[in-house]
Amino acid sequence: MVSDPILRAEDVWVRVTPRGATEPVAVVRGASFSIPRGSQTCVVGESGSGKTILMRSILGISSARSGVTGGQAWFQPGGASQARAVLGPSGRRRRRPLARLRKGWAGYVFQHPQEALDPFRTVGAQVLDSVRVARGGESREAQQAKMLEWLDAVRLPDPRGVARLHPHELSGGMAQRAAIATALGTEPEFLVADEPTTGLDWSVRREIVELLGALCRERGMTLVLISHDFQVVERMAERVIVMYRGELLEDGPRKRFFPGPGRHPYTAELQTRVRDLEEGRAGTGQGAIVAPERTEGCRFVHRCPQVVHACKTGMPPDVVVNNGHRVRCHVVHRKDA
Amino acid sequence: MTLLAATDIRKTFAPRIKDDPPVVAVDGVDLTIAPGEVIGLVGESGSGKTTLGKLLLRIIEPDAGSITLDGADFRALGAPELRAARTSVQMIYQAATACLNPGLTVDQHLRETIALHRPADLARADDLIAETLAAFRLEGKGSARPRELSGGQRRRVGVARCLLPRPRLVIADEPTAGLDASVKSEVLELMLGGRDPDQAWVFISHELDIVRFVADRVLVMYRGRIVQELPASRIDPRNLDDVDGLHPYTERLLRSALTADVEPVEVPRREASSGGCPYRAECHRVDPSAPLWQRCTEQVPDPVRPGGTARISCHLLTDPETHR
Repeated sequence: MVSDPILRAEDVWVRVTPRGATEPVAVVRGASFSIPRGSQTCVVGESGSGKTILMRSILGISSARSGVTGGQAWFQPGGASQARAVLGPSGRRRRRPLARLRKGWAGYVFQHPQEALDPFRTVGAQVLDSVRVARGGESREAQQAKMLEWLDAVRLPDPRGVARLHPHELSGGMAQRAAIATALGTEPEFLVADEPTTGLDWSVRREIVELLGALCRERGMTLVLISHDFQVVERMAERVIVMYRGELLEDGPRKRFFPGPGRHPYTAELQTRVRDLEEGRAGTGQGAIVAPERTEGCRFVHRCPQVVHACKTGMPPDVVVNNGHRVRCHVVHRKDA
Repeated sequence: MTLLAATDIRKTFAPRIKDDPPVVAVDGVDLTIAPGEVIGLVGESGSGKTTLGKLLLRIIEPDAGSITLDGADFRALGAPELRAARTSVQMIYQAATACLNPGLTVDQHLRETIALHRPADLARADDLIAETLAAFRLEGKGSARPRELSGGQRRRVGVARCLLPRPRLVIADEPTAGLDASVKSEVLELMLGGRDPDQAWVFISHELDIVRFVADRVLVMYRGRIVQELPASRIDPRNLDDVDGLHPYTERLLRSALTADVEPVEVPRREASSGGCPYRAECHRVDPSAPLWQRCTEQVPDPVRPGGTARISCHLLTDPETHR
């Protein structure tokens, strides 16, 4: 277990009713995890694995159509003695802690910064909104100065000039920095960055990654980085959480994943594919990705190379392989038991 | 042998805000593509990669410059001839969702392509569609509409539709952006795995490690110009011994790799002004107090080929008197 978590989640279920469907579909299935205070945790997994919706649901910023239907989560700003439930038993939202969450405990950098920023308002006005949340009692001049300070902190050149620009006048890298500044403006202890480097070229990607790392070190901030870019994950992660089709399959410290491979067959497959891409063996010998089917068993059973009978009948238990390293897999369970 | 040759291609767009200066998107690009060649086109966002791709196929009309396809003047074609020529030059658009018609099924998309580009095969369209769906691992998805497909499946429909006319030149704009590793490798294999050896590709991407392996040679673009052309094997952040042969911007891109153990270059932020070398404001190699700086501020460096085939546009690397 993590000794001093800032966020703790237990058995969180999120069910979404897709447009046109009548039955809800579980997109997060019983996720339990802890985020150590001051750490950099990366959540990895392919598109649709539930990475984004899990973090958003816990922070209460999921879209209207989705709903948390189970589980509990605590935010612990000042240690375990001050644990505040942000999700009550059976997934009920707690309004007051949620408001605090948005007012300074947590910040969220949304995917696609160009879409997350308001196109009709200047960058300065949007960062100022956040500053007012944290420093409502201060004078306008002080708030203005703080806003410029944030634009400078995210290494935007000429903060005064940029503050007057609208989002469409920014390049991709500048928009990402502006989005980070709006999230930092509330002075959060905990920051979630959702795919902050997608679509950026190498030099900008590196600058953003290093900026996030430096901000965390300077401010003692906890970072959760959602990404499917393994190069970014290898660079940033102190802890890795692997998700697949709504299921949290593996969770452990960095050294269990890099140089790799991870213990779960899915993590290992993902890492092989990444390595093959880097070394120019794209798609050779891996074969097609088998489309998943409805199953009572393990969510990965249709693609797994190591299936045993138990995999087809029920979801595997969480196996604690090592201190702070959990794997949800029948095969690993069998070997370790 | 040359499939497509472009000389001094230029395009300027009107500014989005009145009274702003016009946007020079592509500023004098020369380029030849041989049959069967895969060319990587890299550079930062806004450097003009996509615009250049569209100009080469006349999806956007160039302001100036000449384009020949198989030696014939491509820019002289009128609308009906251009439509006919499009069968052999195809583009895979960056936005996998936006380039599909939300009201059409996958079958209808493919049938439309067959009717347009392979009218002779229209009689056996059903078989051809079934073959294509199988080849692109879209079995059972024929009657699905785009919104019912995953991102990877939409991308595969876009690729299938583009390859169905059996084009001789494909311009692929960020075909793997935003896909996760497993889907990425699958899409790459479908695109390039079984291609006709004479089919040429222009592969536009941010992902230098993918470009290195799919491309034969790589063009590096910066602010509408090609600043360097080099063999794809040199796009290797683990091997930066011959940094002198790299354009300062190419070096900066490679040194930004997160996998290799390299330090990024320290990018100076000088005041940018018009004229001269477009990269000089961010160039880490030039010393603004050296006599050469004047040339950097006044003159756009011409592309030259110092001691080899790699084209490069930089005064520092090409000026014999001031060689460091």
